[in-house]
Amino acid sequence: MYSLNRHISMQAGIVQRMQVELADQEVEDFINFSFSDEEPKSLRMRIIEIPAGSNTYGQPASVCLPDGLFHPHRSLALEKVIINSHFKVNHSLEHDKEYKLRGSFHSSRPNSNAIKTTVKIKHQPSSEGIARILQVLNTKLNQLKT
Amino acid sequence: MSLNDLLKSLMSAAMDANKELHDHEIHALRNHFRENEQEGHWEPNTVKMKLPQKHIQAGDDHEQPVDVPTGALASHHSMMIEELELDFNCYIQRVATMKSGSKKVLVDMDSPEKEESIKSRMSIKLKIKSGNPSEGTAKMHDALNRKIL
Repeated sequence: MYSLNRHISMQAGIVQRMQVELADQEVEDFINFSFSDEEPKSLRMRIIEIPAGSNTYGQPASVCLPDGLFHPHRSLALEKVIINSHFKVNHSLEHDKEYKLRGSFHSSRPNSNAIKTTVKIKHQPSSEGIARILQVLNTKLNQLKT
Repeated sequence: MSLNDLLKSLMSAAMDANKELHDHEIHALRNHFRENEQEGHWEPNTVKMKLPQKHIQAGDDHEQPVDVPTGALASHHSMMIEELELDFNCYIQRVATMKSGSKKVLVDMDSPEKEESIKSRMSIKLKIKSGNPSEGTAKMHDALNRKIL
């Protein structure tokens, strides 16, 4: 029997699903944009040609840099989700130690369970693990500058 | 139905949703581990990456494969109910005396004056926001991070 408990818990479940999708996407994007497909995953590198100048002792040169450093890594996370819905109360209550209000999904449109959802997604700092790896890549870049 | 029972059922629904969100944090963390049945413990899922060494010398491109736990790469946030708004009408019928002698207010959620389509209809506004992970999850995350470098 459908209850108010299930009605609200189901909506919480939708929000959880959204958060898991975003977190998984963050990891997948980071691995894909910085590392090769084969195992063990090695850094995708980009070769930059440097024209002859005083820094290159008058000779053209090239440097090999991690590809990931050329893309800003932006992580996204759920900030808030607001769900509006309607529940049609059927007067019975389950009394077996718990009080659950029985009823059904209410929608103005027949054969549909409409819920109005507002999702706020915000940019967030990268996870600690990603930040650490980016720091290593940047260290490499800084050493190449010297 | 008594007003007391109605209020208890509303609280029960809110508490169930809150529990669902609390349990989610553990389930989400578990996605980054696999069970080693022989050893009887859980091990972190890892992805092998070749990373430059932290203290490399200038011009040294030496890279070492590192088993990076996927749990360290993922963000861990908890989700919590910020607000649950339940908007409905109920009509006081009478005050009933129970067998125990206590008195309860009996309510009806239907009104004969209203149209069938809006009878007993409850409007629900559920606001869920993200927050910091629990202390245990944060410590686990720290431990996984230390495995990187």
